[in-house]
Amino acid sequence: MSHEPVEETVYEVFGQTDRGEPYVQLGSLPAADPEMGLMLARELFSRRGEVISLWLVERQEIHATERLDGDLIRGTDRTYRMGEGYRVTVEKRQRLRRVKP
Amino acid sequence: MTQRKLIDHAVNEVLLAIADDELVCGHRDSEWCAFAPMIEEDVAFASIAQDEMGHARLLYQLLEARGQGSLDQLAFGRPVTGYKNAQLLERKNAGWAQAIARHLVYDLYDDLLTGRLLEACQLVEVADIARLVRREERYHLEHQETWINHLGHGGDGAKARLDTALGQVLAEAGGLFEDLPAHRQLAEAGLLPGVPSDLQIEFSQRLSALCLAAGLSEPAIPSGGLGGRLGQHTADMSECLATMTEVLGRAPGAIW
Repeated sequence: MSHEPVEETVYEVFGQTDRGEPYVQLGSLPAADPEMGLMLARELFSRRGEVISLWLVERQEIHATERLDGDLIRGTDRTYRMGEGYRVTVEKRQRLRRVKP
Repeated sequence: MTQRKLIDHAVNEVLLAIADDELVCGHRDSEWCAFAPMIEEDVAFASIAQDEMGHARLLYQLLEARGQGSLDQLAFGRPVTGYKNAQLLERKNAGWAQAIARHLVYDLYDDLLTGRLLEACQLVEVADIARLVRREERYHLEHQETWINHLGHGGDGAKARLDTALGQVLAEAGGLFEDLPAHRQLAEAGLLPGVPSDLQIEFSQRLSALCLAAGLSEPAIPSGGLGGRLGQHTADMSECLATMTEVLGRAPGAIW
């Protein structure tokens, strides 16, 4: 009996910890198709109930910049552009949710 | 015995049968750790094993609260004839096709048991546990369905191997649907809406539909493997218990 390796796709897995929260990359896995990939992702990345939703994205569909692209890291002072206030948006939203019934 | 005591006894018997199924199934699942077809499945199957153990724990805890002994004593401290699990679940692992076929049969049975009998039963604690358990069992069933769909449509003789394994599993699956006098007592008292053997027709209909969708052959009716609910077990059960209690047996009463 021949045991040719099955053609597998590598998927990047993203998870959301709560409604409205951003999807964060959790890891990657190889699988025969999205159905199998999602099933495995559920057991691998949410078995302790960490996430409420999972995304599976084919790695080859991700378009990325060159690694260590020096020009991405600028030399000039750009702190005046930082919208510091927005960083607490997530916190504020969570606080609001706790207050609401 | 008074009527009240008879009913209490019947409830304990029924709970023990369900808990022992989950415990033994979980143990056999756990033995796949490091041996599954790929590393991701290794983690997935081990996770399912932990779920099943967790379900057993919930039920043993309820039995503990009902004065039936401590959790550990219930899980690991009984003679082999005291266990009421179906024989099918104690059988040694025999390849991935058998693992998936057996788990599919068990999950489908479990879905009907919890959905048709336990959720609707008049014992509040049992109905609550059934609801909790079903939330995880849904994913187990999906896991097995995904596998049979892939193996059923896969090459390299996968379909034939799964067909054979399913045939062997079903020839020992009759024990899952075996009614104890305790089941009948609870049904007659109106506490349970039915008995396990009532679930067989729907079980076979749903299994047939799943097999058809997966391109597998028409499955047989569950038969054989009887006696487990009455404490009659195969040699595999003694091996299973010896393995499960090996560490505990070396240092009885040790605190972890």
